[in-house]
Amino acid sequence: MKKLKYIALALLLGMGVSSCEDMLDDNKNPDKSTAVTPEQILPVVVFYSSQINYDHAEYGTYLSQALTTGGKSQTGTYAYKSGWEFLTMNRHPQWRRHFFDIGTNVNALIAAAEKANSKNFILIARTIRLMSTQLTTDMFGDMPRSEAYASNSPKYDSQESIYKWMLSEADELISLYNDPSWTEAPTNIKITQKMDRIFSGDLKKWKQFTCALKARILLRKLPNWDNTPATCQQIIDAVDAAYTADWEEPRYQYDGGTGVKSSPWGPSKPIINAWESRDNQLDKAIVSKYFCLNIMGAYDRPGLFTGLAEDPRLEKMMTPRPGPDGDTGTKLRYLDNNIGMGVSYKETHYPDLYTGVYTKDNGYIPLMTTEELLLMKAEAEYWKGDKTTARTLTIDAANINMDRYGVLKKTPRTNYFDGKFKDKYFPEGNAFTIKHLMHQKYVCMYLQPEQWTDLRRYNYSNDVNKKTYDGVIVYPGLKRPYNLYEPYWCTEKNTDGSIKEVWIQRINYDPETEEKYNKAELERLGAYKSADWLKVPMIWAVYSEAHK
Amino acid sequence: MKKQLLLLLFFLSAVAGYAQRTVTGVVTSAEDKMPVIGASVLIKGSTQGVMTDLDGKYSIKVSDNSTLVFRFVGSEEVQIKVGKQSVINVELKSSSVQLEEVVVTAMGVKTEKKKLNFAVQSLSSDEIVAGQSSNFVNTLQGKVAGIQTSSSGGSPNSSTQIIIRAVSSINPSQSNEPLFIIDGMPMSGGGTAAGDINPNDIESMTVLKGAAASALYGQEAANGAILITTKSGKAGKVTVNANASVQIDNAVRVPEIQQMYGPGSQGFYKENTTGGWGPLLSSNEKRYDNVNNFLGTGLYQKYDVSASGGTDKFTAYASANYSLSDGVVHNDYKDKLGILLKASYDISKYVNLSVSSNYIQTESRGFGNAMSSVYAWPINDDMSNYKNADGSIRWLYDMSTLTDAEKLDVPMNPNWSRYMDHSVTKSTRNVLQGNIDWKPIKNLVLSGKVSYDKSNSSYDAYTTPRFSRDDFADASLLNSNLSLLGQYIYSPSNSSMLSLQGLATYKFNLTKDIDVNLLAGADMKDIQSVDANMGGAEFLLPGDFYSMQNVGTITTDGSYDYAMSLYHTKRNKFGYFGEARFDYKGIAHISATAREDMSSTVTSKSYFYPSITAGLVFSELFHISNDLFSYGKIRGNWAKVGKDGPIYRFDKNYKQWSSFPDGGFGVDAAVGSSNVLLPEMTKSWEVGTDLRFFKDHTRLDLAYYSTTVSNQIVTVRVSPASGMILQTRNEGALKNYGVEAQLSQDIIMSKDFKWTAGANFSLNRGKVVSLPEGMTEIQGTQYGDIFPTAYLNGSSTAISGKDYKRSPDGKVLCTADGYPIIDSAKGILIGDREPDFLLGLNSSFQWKDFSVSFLLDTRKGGDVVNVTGRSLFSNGQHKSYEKYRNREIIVDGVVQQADGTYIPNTKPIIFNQTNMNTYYNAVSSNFIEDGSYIRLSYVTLGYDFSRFLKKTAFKGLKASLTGRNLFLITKYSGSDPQISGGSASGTGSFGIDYFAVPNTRSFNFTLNATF
Repeated sequence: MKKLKYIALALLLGMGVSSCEDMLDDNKNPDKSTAVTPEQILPVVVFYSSQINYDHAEYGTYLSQALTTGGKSQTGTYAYKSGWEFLTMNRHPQWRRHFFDIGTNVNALIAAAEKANSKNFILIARTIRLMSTQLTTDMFGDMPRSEAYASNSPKYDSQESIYKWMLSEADELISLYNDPSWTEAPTNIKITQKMDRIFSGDLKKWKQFTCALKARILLRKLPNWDNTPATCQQIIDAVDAAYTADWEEPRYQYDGGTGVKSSPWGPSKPIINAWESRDNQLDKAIVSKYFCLNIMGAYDRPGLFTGLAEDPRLEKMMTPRPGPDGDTGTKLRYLDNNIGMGVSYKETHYPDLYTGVYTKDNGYIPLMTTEELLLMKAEAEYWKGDKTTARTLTIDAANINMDRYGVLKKTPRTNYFDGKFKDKYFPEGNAFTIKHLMHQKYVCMYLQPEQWTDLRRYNYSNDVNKKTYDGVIVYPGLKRPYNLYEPYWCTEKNTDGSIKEVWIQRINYDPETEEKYNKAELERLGAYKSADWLKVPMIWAVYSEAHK
Repeated sequence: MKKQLLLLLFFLSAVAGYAQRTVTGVVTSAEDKMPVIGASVLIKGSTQGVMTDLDGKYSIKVSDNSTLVFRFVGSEEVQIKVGKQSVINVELKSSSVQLEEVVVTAMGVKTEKKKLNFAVQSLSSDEIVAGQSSNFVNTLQGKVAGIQTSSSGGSPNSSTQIIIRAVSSINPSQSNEPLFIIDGMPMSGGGTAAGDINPNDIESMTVLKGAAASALYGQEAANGAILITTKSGKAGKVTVNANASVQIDNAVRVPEIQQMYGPGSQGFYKENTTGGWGPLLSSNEKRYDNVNNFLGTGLYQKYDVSASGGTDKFTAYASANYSLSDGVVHNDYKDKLGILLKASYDISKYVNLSVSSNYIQTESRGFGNAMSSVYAWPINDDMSNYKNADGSIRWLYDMSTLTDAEKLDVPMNPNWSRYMDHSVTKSTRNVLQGNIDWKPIKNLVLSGKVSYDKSNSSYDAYTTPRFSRDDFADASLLNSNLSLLGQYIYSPSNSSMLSLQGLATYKFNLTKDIDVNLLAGADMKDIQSVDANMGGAEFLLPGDFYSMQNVGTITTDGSYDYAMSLYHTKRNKFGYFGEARFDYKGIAHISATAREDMSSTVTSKSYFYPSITAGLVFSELFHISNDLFSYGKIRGNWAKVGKDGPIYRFDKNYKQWSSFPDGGFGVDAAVGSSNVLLPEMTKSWEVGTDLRFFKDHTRLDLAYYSTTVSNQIVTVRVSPASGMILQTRNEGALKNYGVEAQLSQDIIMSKDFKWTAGANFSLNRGKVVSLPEGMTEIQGTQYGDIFPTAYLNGSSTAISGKDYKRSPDGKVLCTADGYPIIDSAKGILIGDREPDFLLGLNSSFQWKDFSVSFLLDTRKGGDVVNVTGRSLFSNGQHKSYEKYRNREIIVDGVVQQADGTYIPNTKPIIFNQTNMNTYYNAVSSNFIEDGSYIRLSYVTLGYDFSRFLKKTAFKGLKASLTGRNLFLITKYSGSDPQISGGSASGTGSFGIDYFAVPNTRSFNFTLNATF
């Protein structure tokens, strides 16, 4: 009996020790924070606001035919640099950048700011989210917005409804920026330069940028979607609201240094992480024939006084280098897109692209350039019918751009504006057409996201597809890259049997995530594993016969 | 110091004797009157006993009222009361029925195999060491039905994957490996960690294959369990056993490099290129066999010694082993020291205490999957010439012609890294175990076990500077590549697992014919780890001062290898379990188990699962045993086993971005957060039969099983529009079903000649039966555009990638010009890594003192992804280019006609760089190969010299010569189809040939002496 007592006691002890659920650990990671303050998360969001501009521009510069590579493969890791074989390409950084790096962090920033009752953070966060939304929808079209973050497979909003939301968000933000209860709230935490490298928390400047964004959103209505004088006037008003005497270009200035402390366009080619970023690879990029010849007017034989090209900015953007045996000499070499270089050539025989104003480790990323702001107004004035103002604004923008690149105000710059090239680039009166305006914008938007957007907005108007606007071909000399991936891009034929000139209008949704978790939505759109989806124009790029 | 004292204590205790009377005698065979060597002589009712020596003699201390029990395998047991006798000679008769196999099953309970109602398979110590592999886990395939092993290459540091029956979790972060249990307590790690155990210390091993067999162990055993019982001290004189092995290894089936073309492009010479796409080399231009020059001969040596002895109350076992393994790649090595100490002490008639300590120390430097640069090295350059006369790097490219950016991409000579860089991983592991058994009343045993598995590891490495800042016109380019100026990394880590277990077993007779065994217990586990990394880049002082005290930059930016970091993990869990077993006259057996587990990594915090089993020995029930059919049993079982999730998934975490220009914190994308997590639940049923014929000389065990794992816990890359990058969640269910058969046959069993043979067969079919939210597939780690993929209603081990467009009968579609048409879609099903079946055939012959044994390991089916081969095609180095490059070839395909019919393609295309890369290399299905093989896994020739050594100090001396991997018959074009690319988690990486060191063929000579 005594033994039985001991046995019972031993068993009870054994069971008792392990029967308490409190023994379970709390499953909290001791090395990770579960809360954040607005001061700590704002610099991250602001940093990503510059990165997303880079992400879009890095794809865009190849898609807009300004740069190409030495290869000519139809397929490759980077579909935008080779044959547009996009369906095997996943993890486009733009999608992640918008929804997670900006989106999720903005949500966390707003929550933290609301908790601290610091409304100034909320205004900046929402402005950056608005910019990010605009960039993202202009690359992908339809995408989740109203149901984003609510589930694993949020429904996609139509691009039209996203545009509607963006306009109302811009208006609401502008009115909140005008509301002292938001901007001057006593509980607002002071935003320092360390938190906001762009404007040091100056809400007036953020408001001007919001107005500029509104102008960019409205600009999408030109020239196809809603090209009316009223729209043009709205754009003009928005630009005027932004471009006041104290307008300051929103720039994210990099200091240079280790890793992403350098500009993503810099020669050290920093990336945040290999799986979420694409390095700039300008060392392997080659300037296109279209950009050099058709846009910049490169000379066959550069002269001591004439420079490399009619447009003096070219030699500020890049530096010629010596060629291989058989083609020695330092000169500006270029290639047709995706035509491939000769076997004796390598990328280093083509111009060094790291000499421009943006392509330095301590360069800057503008969230929007002053030139763009002026050229938006110019375009609105043009379609409103005021070609003279349009021309003046175009010249102003081009001058600002020349200054940006440090082009001296003498020959050949004077030749470009007022000398022998005046009629070519800035003719007066009715001779000034949308072609001249968009030509200038193409140059000013070098390494900016708008370059590809503009090209699509004007339907890659060229000599082959003959899509004219206001009676002119906007981008004469533009042609499709060689060696496009045949199964996607060379199957449609014209009536004469020639291959139809189909251009890329958007990039694919990520096969790794969207095809899996939102298959039904992709199927609804016709985007599921479909190369044809890449050819569907944005709502703002459906060619309007009205403005032919 | 403590360890040394303990060792001393064990040895002193082992040789100490008790002053009792000595009985001696000789044990002989009744049939031929020859001495029986190795018969056990035990004092009944105690653990004290001795073995007979080479002459069949024994000597044992006894008291007058003792009874001696004489046993020998295949003989009938004899019991003799000692009385006043001082000499007891015994003759043992052969038993008509073999001794029933006793296996160690769940919770360390020893049970006759015939009472178990699930598939188990045991290996003896001889079977485990057979093959003499440096990692015994690698040789289990073929020895046990249903076990699939694969190694990540021929390096001594290759990881080993072991999977029982099939992949059960598709999540790349959930393990599919079985639980290893040593002496009743779980150990951490899978096949790679278990491979560190000295196989000579293993007494026996039991493989519990199904969920019912391992249900008591809970979640970690959901993939099966491998129970290892280490050797223990035996009562009697101290026996010392010593082993020495020497082995040479050579790489076999090394991918061949073409010997005709130099580096370049499109057939032209192009400076500063690798590979072989350049021009034809002239016949007098020297070629270098860089690959085979890089791979040398590996040498493996192992020495171990063990001692065993004890008294009737105290027994001890101690062993030490030391091995040095130098791989075929220079400086790819692993040295290992292992010490095992075990002791058992009967404190009283009722209480036994046993303790053990297993200490393992390793020092290694790996090579990893880094063969790609070796294969790409141009054949007209001598890769072994990696250093200039002044000691600087001899670069493959002419650095004076390169821009700053190009310098960053210059290939590094692998020999420089091997000879000039430094790295060493040192680890120690100590598994301490203690067990106390208390038998307070008859048939009741209360046990308490504690096990502490502690590992410490450190990685200490530097890479020498590749450049100096002066080598760059613009040194700012180095800002993101500071490691090129040299880097130092030191990463210490430690982990521990504390396991406690309380167990009560009680057996009684319910009626005269019904025996009942009850078991109840509780266990808990506490697992902790700390991982740190410290380092820096850019050595400031020139010279060879490679130290942390010489680095110029440190960072916490995790994108750099040398970033500073410190992470802790901690998890604990516990559970209660119970089992009831009923045995009716040894004819029918029924059992049931139940277990409740607690874990905070699932939302519910606790979950319950049961199992039931039943078996019937129909040969006894229906009295149908005869000379032809001696035994027959059918069995069946059903079980559920739950598995919890990964830790730290229920919080949103913020990560410090110190690398960003203004720092700050952002939401951590790398944490696969979770909202609700249910336990992953395995449900399985199994039926089987155990049939024996010809007086048990033919033994056949068959099993059919079906297992469904539902609520799969997966960490997947979800849409960023969900607000997360990775998410941990329950997704779908996986079903495996299959057949296992084991056949063992005694062919000849005469005194001088014994010949036995065995076969192990298994096949499994895995299928994904459900996935949520309209998903159709789950992908694992990508290899280029190839993904291990689990498809809904398809295989769980499929491969997806790119393919050609094909006609309805599977032929490649070609254009009218003869070019194959590539399907624009990606993620197409292009293969399945699941074998059709596995078959192992083993046999052993023994003629007098001479023995031969071998294992043939075969696999039918199971695709392999040849990433290595693909690189040879893409960089112009493939052997086939000698024959076909720049020739016209006709693609084996069809051309679709306007009327929809197909005609064979007859138009040739040129087999050149452009076409190869565009139409062949870009299509991943071209690199999926049939992984069927027949391998002579090992042949061992042994000779026992013992009978020549009767007058010496030796009790026994054996020598053996083993050849491993002697031949491999396969259509696979790479080194070895039994390969894995890395981990055994999720859809797994087995069947991925990813630049591994080629597999090796080995010859091993082992000498074993007993004193």
